[in-house]
Amino acid sequence: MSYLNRNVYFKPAAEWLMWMLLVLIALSQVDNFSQEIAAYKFDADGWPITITLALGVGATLQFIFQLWHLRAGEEDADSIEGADTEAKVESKISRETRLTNIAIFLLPFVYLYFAPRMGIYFITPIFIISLMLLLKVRSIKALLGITAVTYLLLLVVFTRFFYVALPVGRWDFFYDFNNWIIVVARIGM
Amino acid sequence: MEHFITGTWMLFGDLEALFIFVLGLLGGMFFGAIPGVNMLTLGAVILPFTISMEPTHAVMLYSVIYCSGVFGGAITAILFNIPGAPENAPTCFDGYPMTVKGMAGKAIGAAVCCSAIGGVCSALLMMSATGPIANWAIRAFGSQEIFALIFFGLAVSASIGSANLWKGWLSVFAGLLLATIGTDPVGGIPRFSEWSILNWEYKSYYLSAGLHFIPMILGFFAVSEVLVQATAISSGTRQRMKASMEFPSIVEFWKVRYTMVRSIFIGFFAGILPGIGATLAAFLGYSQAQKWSSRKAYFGKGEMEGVVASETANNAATGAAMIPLLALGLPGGALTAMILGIFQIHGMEPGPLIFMNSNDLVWITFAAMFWANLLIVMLGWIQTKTVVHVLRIPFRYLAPIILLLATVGAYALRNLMIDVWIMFFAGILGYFMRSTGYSPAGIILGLILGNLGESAFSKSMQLMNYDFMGFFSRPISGILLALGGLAIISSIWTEIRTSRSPQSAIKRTDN
Repeated sequence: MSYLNRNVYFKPAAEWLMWMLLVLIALSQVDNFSQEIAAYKFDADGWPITITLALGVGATLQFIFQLWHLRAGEEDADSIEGADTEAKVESKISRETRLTNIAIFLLPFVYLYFAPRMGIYFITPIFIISLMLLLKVRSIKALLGITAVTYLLLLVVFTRFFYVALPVGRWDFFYDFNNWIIVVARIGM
Repeated sequence: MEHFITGTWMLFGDLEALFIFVLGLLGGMFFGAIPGVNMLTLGAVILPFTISMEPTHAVMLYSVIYCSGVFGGAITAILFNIPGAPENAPTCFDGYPMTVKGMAGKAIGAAVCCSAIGGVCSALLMMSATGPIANWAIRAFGSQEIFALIFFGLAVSASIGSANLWKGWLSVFAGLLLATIGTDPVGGIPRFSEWSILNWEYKSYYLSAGLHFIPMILGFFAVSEVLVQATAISSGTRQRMKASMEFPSIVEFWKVRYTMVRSIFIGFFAGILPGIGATLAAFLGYSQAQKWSSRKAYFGKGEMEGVVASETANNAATGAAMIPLLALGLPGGALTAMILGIFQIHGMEPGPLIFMNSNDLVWITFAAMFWANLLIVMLGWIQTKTVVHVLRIPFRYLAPIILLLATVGAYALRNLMIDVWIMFFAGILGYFMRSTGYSPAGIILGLILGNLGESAFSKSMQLMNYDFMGFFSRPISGILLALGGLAIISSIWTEIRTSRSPQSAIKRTDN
């Protein structure tokens, strides 16, 4: 009972607060483009303000309905077997798994930070291998094989045939390395 | 009929035309089925090469890519929960759960057949009445009707893919708000490109161009799916999917015949209207199928009727989208805009006169679209037998490939790293939205229709002298707005009525 009570009210409240924060941030930015348009009565900010307010009203209505439903169904809900399964499942997630999940979420941003600096052609194989290691791939053959296939796909399809101008890096050594890879990929063209 | 036979003869009797036709068909299916790239990528890449082609062949090539590309996008939607294009997003709702249940072959089979049926019917309607339909559409549909149709589409489709009505609407509103980033459609004033929160200030020149929906789709679907699967792998809870080859039976198709017919009309009607196109068609087709189905409780859990509705509607929109393009010179979407570009490259002008001045071009295009849709069945069947094997590859090997393709796809769009950043942020947002019952598809729907809706609304308001009742003085817009309003009221009532049980209280808190 105590866990359920705490949990069921916390989630809707947190959700509502998150939406209201978004609404407040959006409304606070409207001044930056609040300009009159000669031929249009609602100006540049009319539509965004309407959508933002609709978002706030929608979030508030959702919150009210959630509270209403929870109050109506609380007694019965509490007696339903397995209602706190989620809590038990969550508690079973190990610290290592949590850290791995955080790393999975952060890895793309590390890749994005270094891609313009070190170039896509240098950083991509490192990214692929890192991701596969996080996904518990331990076979050297698989790590190298998948990296090679993906890298070849990048070189042949996007660099050689489609001429996609991927970032080649800003740091000297990496800039030269990436351009060298592009030259190699386009040999004979 | 005579024109159609001539067009078919020109297509199959000319080796060069036939070669281009086959290339377009395979290219569209292939590009549509690779996560991260789509038919627009192919269209953009080969556009410069069309200069040296005959205009007849170039236009035919793009129309074939359009048909096969819309179908190709269903493959990734079904297998990986990653739609190849926005119009394939509703296919994910039931296609992917079918894959999870080990019914991937059946889902792809349904998509193949329904794409073909929708496309062929649309091509037949297009051939029989392009001129009159185009004239009717352009007279009957002004900005008021376009706005009313968008309102109606959002009203009936908002809760698709979400845990409940409110989460669906909030997802759509979030999409509509994201669509306001960029330049306003009336005065050209940049919005949300400058940010000042407390002492933190941010100004982005790139945000003035708005958020493109391709990185958002890749983020909300491809990246978030990789994150969902990756976290499941790391916690050891992921179940491997079975790769089945079973095709749907004729009896199963017969059971969904009304859904198919309804989706053909919805797709065709939505496809005619410039800018609305296949995306709204697919969402409307899906929502109406759910509304009228006797198995509505199974929608979203792997119901074949959901795949049938969305794939029939989006392919039915392809033929219809050619009508305003050829008859009036109005492109309905990005690929039809490229076709307009081909006309301009070759010094031609689409419009009513094209039926007199370039009859060959019109009929080879019509014939090519008809045959391309028919051939989708055969090639799709082969594709089903081969592509389902991809599911046998462990996801931990596919994940880096999907992420890399998505990264390159997002970047190549405008050669901007900000698009890749947006994609990954959308991916993380999509991950949390999915785990809390919100709908990434709703955000995409709002994002795509937001600009169109605002533009139509502002034009309507100026035309009606800011009188809101003016919408009701025009029959089509009045009816659509009233139906949209009724749909909202009835969905709120249904939501209240069906969620009074204690079980629903538990479900809500879980979501």
